[in-house]
Amino acid sequence: MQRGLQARSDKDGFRVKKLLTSNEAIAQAVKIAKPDVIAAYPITPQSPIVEKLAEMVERGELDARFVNAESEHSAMAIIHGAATAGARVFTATSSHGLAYMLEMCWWIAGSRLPAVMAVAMRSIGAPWNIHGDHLDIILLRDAGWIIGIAENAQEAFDMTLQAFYVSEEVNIPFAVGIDAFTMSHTAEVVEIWEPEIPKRRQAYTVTPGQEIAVNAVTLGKARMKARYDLALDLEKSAEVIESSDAKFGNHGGLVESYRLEDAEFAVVMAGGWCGDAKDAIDLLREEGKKIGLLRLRFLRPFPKKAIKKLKQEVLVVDRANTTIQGVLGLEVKACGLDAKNVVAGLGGLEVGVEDFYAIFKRFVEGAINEVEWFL
Amino acid sequence: MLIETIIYSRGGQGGVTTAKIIASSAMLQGLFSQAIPQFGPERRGANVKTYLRISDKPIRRRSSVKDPDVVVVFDKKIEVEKIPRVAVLNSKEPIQMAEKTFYVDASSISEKFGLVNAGWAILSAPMSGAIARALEIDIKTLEDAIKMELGEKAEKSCLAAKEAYKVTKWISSP
Repeated sequence: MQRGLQARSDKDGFRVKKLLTSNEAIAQAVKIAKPDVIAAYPITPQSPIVEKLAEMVERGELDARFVNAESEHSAMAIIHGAATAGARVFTATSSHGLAYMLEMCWWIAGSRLPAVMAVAMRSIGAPWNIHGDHLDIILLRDAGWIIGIAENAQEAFDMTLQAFYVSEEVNIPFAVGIDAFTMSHTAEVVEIWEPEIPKRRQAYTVTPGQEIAVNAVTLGKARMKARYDLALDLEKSAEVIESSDAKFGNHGGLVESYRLEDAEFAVVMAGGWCGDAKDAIDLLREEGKKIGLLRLRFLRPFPKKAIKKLKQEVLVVDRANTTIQGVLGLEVKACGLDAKNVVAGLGGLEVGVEDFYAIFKRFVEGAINEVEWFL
Repeated sequence: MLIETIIYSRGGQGGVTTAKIIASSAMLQGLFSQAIPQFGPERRGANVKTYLRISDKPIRRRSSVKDPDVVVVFDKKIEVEKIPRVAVLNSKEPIQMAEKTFYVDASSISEKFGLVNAGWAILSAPMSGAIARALEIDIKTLEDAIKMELGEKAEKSCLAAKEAYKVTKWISSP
């Protein structure tokens, strides 16, 4: 190891390298975004995010109101209220916590309020399991949230900052997903930097003395219109995500393409395990197999355009199922593709480079069934 | 270049902290690194595995280490599944474990510097010193990394790491 490299690694322009878990990286990003109100209830494996933020508030490094809520439902209700008043807001949760706050997630999205939430994506019981899969964040799929899924701590940091910007630009709440433990508790090298984020903006605020009625009882037509507008604006948020990508780390927008240019086979996946999948793809490339990866960075808005462009044979590897199929598998097929689908890695069951190599090898050999579970 | 390490320790001995200190040292030397704690119940005294990766390129994989280049053993009674090229061992006496086995009496060094919690010697500082010796990390970088990881509590740990760095010996297989 070369001592001479130290100067370069300490500080590169305005970027400082730190060894951080994805939980810590998100806490750092939130600090830079300067929220006014943070409300949360602890749950494994998210807790370190809000513990770090509570420390920052306690030490006076972050001028925010930190509310220890009595439940996740209340945490989301608190940030809903604070956001209505015009506060920049943040919360974090996982698994059962997200399930418990789900009602309020619909309220904040339907109210068109900007908010940012980190989700350390974890299995939901039963059976009891604290480890990673994507079945919790899938709960948010139809609520009208922007849902990003990061691959590593750097992306978790960059995406959290982008989340504040995008959410406040389009008046839609934004969830940042990281994998339980393999990301949330894994320390890696992250470049910390401080992008300019505009002051809090939002479609409306409710402040004392104002005459305004929000979310009154509606008949079908108003509900239809509200839901239609939200669906349309959620689709349009893709433009804001794409156009601000360069400012927030250049990760590729809605998707990252890996070795797809000349590929005959394409794997579609999301999350931290894409790192292992890329290493497996490199091994198959060395054997002359023309395979690449389309990593979905966003589940909502769903990257339909990039998926429809795939001309290769497609395999979707899912960490969440609906019926016997994977959730991404179903959505990719809904784009008109005839994709194969593997469901794997539920409850933290490890799928490493060797496993991906084996799965992908069977895929290029035409030996994968329509739907398979990697048990 | 990719160096994969498994640290075998018991809960409360500082295995995870050790991985973070060495990962930070690698980062300070311009390399990429990753420290992965074992995910499960955290109990004092239970066997704990921690994974450590160091590379000159960004590290993408985040699954467990299966075929380590280096193993670090905090307690010689812990069973090690795979014998790699290099081992770093907490032991007074040399025990041949790998092609090259580094050994240091980390427990005594921790006790000497008062790095003890509830009767358990915390071995992260002296074991980091021994690993730094094995991986050729210089002592100044290691000290900086210990300060990054431990903050105000770093002083005694830096002294313990320096002593371990100095007295770590090694044997190689005949």
